[in-house]
Amino acid sequence: MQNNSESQIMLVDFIRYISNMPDLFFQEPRMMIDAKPASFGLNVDALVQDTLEFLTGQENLEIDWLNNNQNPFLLPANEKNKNYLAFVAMATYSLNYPGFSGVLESVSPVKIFLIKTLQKLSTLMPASVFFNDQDRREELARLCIQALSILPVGESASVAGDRLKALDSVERMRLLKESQEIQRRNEELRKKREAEEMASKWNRE
Amino acid sequence: MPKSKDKILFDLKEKYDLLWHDALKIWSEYVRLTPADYYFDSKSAKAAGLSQSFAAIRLKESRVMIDLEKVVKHGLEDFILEILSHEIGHHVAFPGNMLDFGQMTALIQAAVKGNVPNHISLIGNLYTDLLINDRLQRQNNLRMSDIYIRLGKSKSPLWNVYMRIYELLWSLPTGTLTENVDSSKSVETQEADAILGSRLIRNYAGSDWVRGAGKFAMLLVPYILADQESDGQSQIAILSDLENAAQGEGFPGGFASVGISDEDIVHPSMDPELNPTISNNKNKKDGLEKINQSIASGGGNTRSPSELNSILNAMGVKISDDDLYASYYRELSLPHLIPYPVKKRPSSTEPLPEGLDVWDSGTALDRVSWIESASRSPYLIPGYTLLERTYGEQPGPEPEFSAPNLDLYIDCSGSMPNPRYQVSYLALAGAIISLSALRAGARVQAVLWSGPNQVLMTDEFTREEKKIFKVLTGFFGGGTAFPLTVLEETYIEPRNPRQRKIAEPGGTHVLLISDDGIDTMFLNSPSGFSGWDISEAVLSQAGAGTMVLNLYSEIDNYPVLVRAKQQGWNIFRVNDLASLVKFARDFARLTYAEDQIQSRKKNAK
Repeated sequence: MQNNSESQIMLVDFIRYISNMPDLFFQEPRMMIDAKPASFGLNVDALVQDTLEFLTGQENLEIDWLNNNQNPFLLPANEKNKNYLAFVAMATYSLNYPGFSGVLESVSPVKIFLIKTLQKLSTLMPASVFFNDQDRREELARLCIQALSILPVGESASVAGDRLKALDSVERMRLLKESQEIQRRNEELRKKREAEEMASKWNRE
Repeated sequence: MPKSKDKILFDLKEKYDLLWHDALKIWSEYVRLTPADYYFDSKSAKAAGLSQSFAAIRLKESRVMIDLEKVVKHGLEDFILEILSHEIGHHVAFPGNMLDFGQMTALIQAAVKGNVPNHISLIGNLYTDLLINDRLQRQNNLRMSDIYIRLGKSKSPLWNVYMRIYELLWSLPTGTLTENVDSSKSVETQEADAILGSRLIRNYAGSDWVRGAGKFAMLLVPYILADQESDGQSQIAILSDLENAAQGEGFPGGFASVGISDEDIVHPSMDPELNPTISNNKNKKDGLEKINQSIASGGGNTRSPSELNSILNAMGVKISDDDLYASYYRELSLPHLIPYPVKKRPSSTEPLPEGLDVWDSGTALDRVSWIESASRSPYLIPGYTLLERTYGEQPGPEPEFSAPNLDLYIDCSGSMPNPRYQVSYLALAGAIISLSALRAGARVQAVLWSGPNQVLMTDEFTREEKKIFKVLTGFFGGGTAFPLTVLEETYIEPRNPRQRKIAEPGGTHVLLISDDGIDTMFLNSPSGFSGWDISEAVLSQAGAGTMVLNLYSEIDNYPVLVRAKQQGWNIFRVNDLASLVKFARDFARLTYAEDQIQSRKKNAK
């Protein structure tokens, strides 16, 4: 992780800020219905635009990938996209933390975070579950500051990286899925062994 | 001049004394515990039962024990508040009391399935340590992580997965408490298990913490097995502060029945509450209903005596085998016993003169006490000088209530189970009937028999439960030879006058629990008497005799039993030994329930 040495934040305060997210950000996102933008719902692409302007400190920022026909935050209405946009809404609120005003020089890391990282996370669990888990809120906080190249006060880059690795939902899910698979195989083997022992016992008797 | 060792330890004890109340307050203002016991050398600590760790607790005595020499040896002199608060946490919260301690140990015992029977106590110890330490570190800002840093690292797989759980719980950088490891496959498994362990601790930190113990045990078993191949055992032993925590007389009841749900003994990776990759189809209401159903049905199956023994051993309960098995069968028999006889106070048959009162015209004239009235005044005026005697009630004699004594013979030949290893329905039936007889006020002679000269019996008809259970829970497993000599000595040539008195006509019910081996009762006795003659004399002397037999076919297919029936024996057949419990309940009710005894008396009149 690169260190934006001028910007360090108290992680505890930032996580507390995230915990206090207003209900507004939990509203249904605006999506495409019959290939047309719906007239209702939370306008997530506008939230992203505002957030990037806040982070760069530039008003009326021109962001071509947000305004073209392939707007990544105006998606066809389905549950998968709805969950992803809920993640994006959460992230925009988080990135609007007062301490982040004007810290961003290039929007690229934030673009990757909003599009790639959150896409992956949204496939793992519902946004509400993610938000309600204390560790996941810390993960969101750390992902945000990673995208902004900011370190928590008192942490070196390697410590912060290690902590984020420990919290990494994608990696956790992979490990837990494997663990579940190992247990399932062990259980099958145990049952098979018990059945064999039982059969052998009956044969002896 | 450097301080002497004694001076260092004495100063340390002073510091501990000073911080004792602060440590109590960390848990509650209202906690009161016996002040801690301090040992100035590890030898005396070991003699007191503190052999592995530098601290320990005794739940029954509400006591904390600290081995000061070991504290210094491990460089933990600066962690007084941490150590005391941790030990107090064991008393106050995890496990907190003998019942929760027992339930936790039972869950772990069920989860390890005999894989690591000697580590049940250690697993419970590590689990409760995590619950306590997580709270002390995060809520009370105590330096629990620094204690583990001071204790040092180890290559032990168990130590590393356990410490990795702490690292995740406390957001410590990887390697703070664990050995740096490569990225091999086993390390990935360890990481997954540590993640699950940390989730488990957070998930079960509340009032249902006991339920997490089985899952935690499932998580640790592979690491304990791996540790057995390395020298990790010695390192982790330092954490065993719950060793012998339940030491002392007695133990809480309620462990003969298994109140464990299968859901509580799964690997955490298979638990939807802990592993979000599993879809949770069951809502919490279903789980609650299941638990309620389990309670309503009496808490599930029966635990075997050897399983109970293993649980109590892990808890550190010191109890003699006789007392353990007696408690086990007593507990199993309790739901089947007759109710205690209710003491009835009948209305008086004798009025008791209590004093005088003014007679008025509303009362029958024959109640006037003329002598008392005349002696009070020569003018007899109703309502003024005319007196009547008032009467109280004197309790009359209690209804006569006598239950027949019980002469119980239990077959313990090779075809019968050993009551000390598995549930013996013979012992349980014997317990139900004997305890019911004692409740009804009767005396019991219990006889366990197998081959020739294999007899274990109470000295006489007794009311001492302990003597009876010693017989019921005994075992021979030998040949089959009914102890005719005992019948002879009880009913024909008594060994002592007391037995003669007890076995007076009509005063005893002889009950024989056996199988087809009962036919040895009708052979000749060693003294030369015919078994049939003895049998007749027994029935005549005792008043009633019953056999309950585990038989493959109908009673009528056994000529010996047909003849015994004709002689006056009540004979019941059961198809399997488990059915003895129902028989015992019915027999106890018919023979010893108060209403049945009264009804028999009425019929006799």
